[in-house]
Amino acid sequence: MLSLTTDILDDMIDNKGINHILQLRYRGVQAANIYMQSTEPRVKLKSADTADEAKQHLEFLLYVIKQLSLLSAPFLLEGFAKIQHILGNDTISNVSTAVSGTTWSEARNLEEFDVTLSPDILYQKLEPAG
Amino acid sequence: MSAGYELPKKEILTGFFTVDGQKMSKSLGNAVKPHELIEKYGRDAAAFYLFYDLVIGSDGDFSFARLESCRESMLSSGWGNLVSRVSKLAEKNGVSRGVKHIECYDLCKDDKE
Repeated sequence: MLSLTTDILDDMIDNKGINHILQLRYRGVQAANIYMQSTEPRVKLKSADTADEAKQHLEFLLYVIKQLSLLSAPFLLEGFAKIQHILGNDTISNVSTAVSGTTWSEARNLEEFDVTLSPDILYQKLEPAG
Repeated sequence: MSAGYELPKKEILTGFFTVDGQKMSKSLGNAVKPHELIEKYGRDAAAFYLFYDLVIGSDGDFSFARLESCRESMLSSGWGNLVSRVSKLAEKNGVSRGVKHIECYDLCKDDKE
């Protein structure tokens, strides 16, 4: 089990280990993308027999997105603000981008939370040069 | 101090940067201007690249190609597409909650709890 506490996060920042946090986090992003591909919620939603299962996968992915976004909140400020808007959950929206703090911990500990989704593009593709 | 702000307890400094393997110089015109970087790539992309690729305290080689690659593959495609696909599909199909359905590789869990 790979775990990072807020104390560990602070310690890593103090000891200049920010790149390590972001590398671990990116592995989490890759794992979530693999989960999305392998569980195929888009396909399963088309059948009444598997639609509930697909919704469970999506609920779990929303949880994973919440956790990953909290981990990078101190670094990816603009992206985190967009995710707060996308998820539309009060506890998550109250989190400041500082690493420590009770609001961060409260949001981190949410294992089930309501969302009012407002999908948006997180990062626009760059225009090709020229 | 006179403004009433608390002084920083610690300063984190970078090492020296080269740009694409070359020393920054006026004659080469290859100096990296942070405000232009943020204007073109965005604040998150600039911060992500610097934190992800360059170790604080050590010397590093700044690369525009690598910055663009980090932005496009990790932020826009890897992370951005995940958030976009999941949120659109969930919204379209009436998913109204996030749930930790399975024990997972939890990057945020506190060992001390």
